[in-house]
Amino acid sequence: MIFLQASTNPSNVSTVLYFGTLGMLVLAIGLVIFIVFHQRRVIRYQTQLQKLEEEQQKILLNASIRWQEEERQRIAADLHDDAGPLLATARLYLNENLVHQDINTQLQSIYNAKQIIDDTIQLIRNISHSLMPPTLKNFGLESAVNDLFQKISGSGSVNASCRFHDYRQRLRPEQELLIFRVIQELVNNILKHSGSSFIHVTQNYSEDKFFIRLHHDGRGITQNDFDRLNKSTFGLGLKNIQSRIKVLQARISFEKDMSQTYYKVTVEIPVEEYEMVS
Amino acid sequence: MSRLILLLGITLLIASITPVVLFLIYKIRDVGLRVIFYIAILSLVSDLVIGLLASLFDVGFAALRVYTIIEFLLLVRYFKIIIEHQRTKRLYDSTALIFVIISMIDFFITKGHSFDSIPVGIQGLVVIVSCIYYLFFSIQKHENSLVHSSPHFWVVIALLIYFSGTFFLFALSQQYLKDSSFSSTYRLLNMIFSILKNVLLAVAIIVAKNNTLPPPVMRNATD
Repeated sequence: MIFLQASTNPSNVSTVLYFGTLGMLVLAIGLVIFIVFHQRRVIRYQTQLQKLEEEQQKILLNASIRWQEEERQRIAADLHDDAGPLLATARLYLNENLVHQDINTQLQSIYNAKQIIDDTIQLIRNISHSLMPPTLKNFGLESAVNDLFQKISGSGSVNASCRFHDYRQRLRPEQELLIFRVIQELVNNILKHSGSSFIHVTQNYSEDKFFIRLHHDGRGITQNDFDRLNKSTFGLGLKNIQSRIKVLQARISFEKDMSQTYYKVTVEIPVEEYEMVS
Repeated sequence: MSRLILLLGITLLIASITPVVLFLIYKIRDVGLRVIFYIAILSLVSDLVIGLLASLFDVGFAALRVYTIIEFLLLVRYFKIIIEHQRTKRLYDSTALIFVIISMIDFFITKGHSFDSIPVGIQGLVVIVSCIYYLFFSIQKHENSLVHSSPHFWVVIALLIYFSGTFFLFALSQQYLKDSSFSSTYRLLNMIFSILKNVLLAVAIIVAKNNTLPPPVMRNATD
């Protein structure tokens, strides 16, 4: 202020005053306009992001509903096409006319009916196990994945193996189920689409993160492919994987290994100490 | 020119009363706006009283200095309320103390017989910097709502425009206020920016009132 007064010629006072005032006013108003427009731009961008997020949620939800309906239809078909006819056949053997037959015929009919009922029980057990494997509930994720891979290897077409390096304490049941379903879905996709000859799953635990890594030597997908398929209406299985990954608050990445010989899928799940159960 | 000054004077009086009346009618509870209410009353009283004191007892400039100190302390109080950063709040306490000391020194040097350009200039700089600080941090805080939906945005704009517009005016007043043409310019510019300030303060109170109103559906249900 002292400098301003000392250096200003009386004749230039008006000039300094008007230009100074105008300059300060322009700066102040310019700043306000910048702030208002900048904030509007930020809000517009956030609204767009929110809309994209909502659209993606809708796609995932639709995929989840479609998958549930397909699963229901499959169960209904299995029960109707397999269990239904078996039980109907068993009923035929055990009709009212049996009492009029001779003892050998009666015994044979009862025996046949028992065989059919046994087959039906096994069929229903298989359907139930495919819905919820008892190994997972009773013995944990490692045993369930081992079981699954043994069945796959048993078919002879693919060599499937798994190794859990650090699974002394089990995760919560709901987490194990979600991870098992993710592995199941990934393996299903590999068997259906990739033509691979081996699948290998490893597990380890590092810095409060639970890692599942799946390697295969068939035709895989990269992260870009995964993101693109997730945004489209195709890739129902991948969308189910995405939904489960979101529930776990985990991350999944698809990549081709540096040696370019196999594809790798990594699932990274954050785990707190208290989430482990003994 | 004198008609223009008269017209501006009447407009200024109405503009000065408006935020005070609106605050009392709407019963605004916001603590920061209460401080602005006190500043508005202080400004209204000083416009009436200081002019009278200047013409009757030649103590106008001394009264103006007292007004400057009280206004600065109230402004510091206001910024401490609206700015959330703790370290910045503590900085305002030391700034207020330094300002009072500088004002006292300036008073003793000039004997209170001239315009207090230096204290007012410092006040202007502190307020302008505080306003810019608040604006930049409010756009980070208001990520999901428009920044101008807050009443404090309008108060800060009012203070920014007033102190920016009158910065050079007040800086030159100590030396040139006794010059008649400068004095006319001073009155003209001061009135224009005071009117602008008070209009924006009134907008702030209306925005505060609208923010406390229930949404239209609820209002219709109670009619």
